[in-house]
Amino acid sequence: MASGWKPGGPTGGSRREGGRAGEPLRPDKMSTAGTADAIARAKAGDVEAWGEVYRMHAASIFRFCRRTLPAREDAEDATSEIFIKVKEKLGQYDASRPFPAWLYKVAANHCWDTLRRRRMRQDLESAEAEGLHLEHPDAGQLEQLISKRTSQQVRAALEKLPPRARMALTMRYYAEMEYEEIAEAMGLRKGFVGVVLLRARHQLREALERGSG
Amino acid sequence: MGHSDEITCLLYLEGQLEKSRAAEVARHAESCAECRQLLSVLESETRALQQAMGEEEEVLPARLSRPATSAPVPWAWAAAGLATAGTYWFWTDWVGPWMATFGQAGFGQFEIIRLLFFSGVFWEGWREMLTLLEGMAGVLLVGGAAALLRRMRRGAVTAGILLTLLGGPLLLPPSTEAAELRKGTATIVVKADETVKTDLIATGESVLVEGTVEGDLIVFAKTVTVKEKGRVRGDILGFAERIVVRGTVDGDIRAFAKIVEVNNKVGKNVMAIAENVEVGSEAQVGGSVLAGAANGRMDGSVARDVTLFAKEFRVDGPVGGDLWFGGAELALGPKTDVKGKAKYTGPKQPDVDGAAKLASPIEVVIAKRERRNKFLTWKFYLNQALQWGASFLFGAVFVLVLPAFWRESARTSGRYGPSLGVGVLALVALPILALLACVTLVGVALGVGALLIYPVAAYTAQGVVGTWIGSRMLGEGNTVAELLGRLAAGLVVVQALDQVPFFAFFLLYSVAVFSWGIGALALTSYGRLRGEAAA
Repeated sequence: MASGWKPGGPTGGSRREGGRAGEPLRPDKMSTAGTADAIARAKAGDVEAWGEVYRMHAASIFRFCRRTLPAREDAEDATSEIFIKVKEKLGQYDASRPFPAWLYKVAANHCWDTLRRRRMRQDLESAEAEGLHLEHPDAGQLEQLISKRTSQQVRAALEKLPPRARMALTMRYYAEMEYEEIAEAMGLRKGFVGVVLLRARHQLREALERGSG
Repeated sequence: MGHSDEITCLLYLEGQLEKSRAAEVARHAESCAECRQLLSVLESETRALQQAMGEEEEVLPARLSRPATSAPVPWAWAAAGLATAGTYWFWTDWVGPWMATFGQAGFGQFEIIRLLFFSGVFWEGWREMLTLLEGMAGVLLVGGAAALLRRMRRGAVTAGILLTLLGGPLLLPPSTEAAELRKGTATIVVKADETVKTDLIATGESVLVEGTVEGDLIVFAKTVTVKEKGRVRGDILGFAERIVVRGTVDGDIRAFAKIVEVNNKVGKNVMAIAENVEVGSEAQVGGSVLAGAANGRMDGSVARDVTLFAKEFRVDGPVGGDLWFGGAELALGPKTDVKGKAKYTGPKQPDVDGAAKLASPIEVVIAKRERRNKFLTWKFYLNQALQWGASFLFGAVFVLVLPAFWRESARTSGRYGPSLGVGVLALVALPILALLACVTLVGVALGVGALLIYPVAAYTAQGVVGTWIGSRMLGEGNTVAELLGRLAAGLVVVQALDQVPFFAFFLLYSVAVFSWGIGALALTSYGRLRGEAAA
């Protein structure tokens, strides 16, 4: 029986501790000390400093939008709109908190608003009512399904998910947002975030199965 | 304790369980291989997700390489000023004079709309059909359809419902209470002893009225003839190659044709747009006459004003009101008797017979054709600037209300082929659909409405193409301010090309810009519908 898992404690919420090994380092995870200075100067109205902040984070925010919104054009538009918002709101940013976390919060709110405006959120009303399979899944089968898939296949499957599921997964596993932040952005109870994530995972598994079949 | 369920395992891994509960789960997993495996699988799923999402498979698009700015730009003020001036110019130079002219002919101010829809020919039928109840039912139907569309966003369903909504009225049998509809390929005749009690709408090769039509006569035909004994108690609205009215009409005549001939009593006004207009000596028009023609003559009597736009026109009869002429050659015969003022605007003196009676000498305004190079006059540039302002104002409204849609449309313009193709299709299909709607009574308002879209569409198309050209010149714009900048710059190019002094080029160019822009708009709208459906 395969079991790589060692009991030793939960592993979630690793963003604040920096990047994981073996994963491409994202720009927003690089020297937070260096950005703090740039942000402070940008706050004071330094155009060059703002450009620096932008260059450091534009790619990761674009990818965030790309993961959550249906079309590339939407993601492009959203990225520039998010940074315009961020620039306007920079005065409200509390420098004692990590900048990427705040940035993702603004991005999440913006993207979720975009989806809501387009009425893509209809699955929201029905989600709570629909039952979730809470019984023990077949772990062996699941392992087979996950270990065989490439990142590219996972991304393709993600694109097929309903907006709400994509949004939740992106917020948690790309932006590494806390449950409270996700709940706030999506207008959910905190206790419901786990259910939404698990449901999204189930949908992803279904999409992966369909993709292979 | 028993096995942990999947959600508990997930919450445990994500650090969302209370300490005591987490410890319980960990303790259980130590002794339970099944739960250990589930935890392990969930964790690798998390890692797979993080890896898949974190990978940079796409580079940052070039237009996002530098931050967008939302700072107001000084030219926005200049543009706003020009836009206001442009609107003012458009109103005073075009709308105002035309309204005044129509007013002289008995179509004052908003009279046309009132005539068309409320008291004129079109309303007669509507009044019977659109009772309050039916109106409300219609609103409910449209509301229901809209709600349905929101739920079922599949493209095919949307298209199907829209087509049904559009086509439905065409299929409905027109109410016999309101109007009689006669269609045919050959001649349609209202016989001498026959009386049509309601309005008559007739389409065919030729339409012949020898009897009586109690209501209005609305015709689309090659030739339309109301014989000497024939009588129309309402109005005549005709679109034909040749419209000849030798019988009596108690209401208005509105004719659009190649040849229009009126030679009997007309209770109200005559409006004729035709190559050749003839108001015969037997004609007695109770109201006014408004004619736009290449050439024509008027020997009958007119109780009120006569307004003529023509290359050549001869008047030889009594006019109760003013006589106004704009064009080239005007001749006033010996039987002319103008009770009001007479005014001529054109390149040379009108030919007035010595016996012609005029209440006051004819006012002559000689408008010589500008021979000077128009590019050297400051007025030309002022006009261009003001026209630019008007176009810009129109585009700016769109940019401000629907910036993302506008940007996308401009981008779609980059796909010339499909845009042009769809645009040409729209250009051809719109009038056909409008005409189709018009031939059935129910669709008249729909048809007229569709035709009214034309000028709006023309301006919008120019704006879309302008924005695209602007984006090619200045790079893609992100913010509203940048979009407005592209629109402004692009419109200058669009307008400059409009000045190439060959008519064929001008015509082709106008059609191309129109089709191109409309095609891009249509494709974008379609894409949006599809995009939303797919999501």
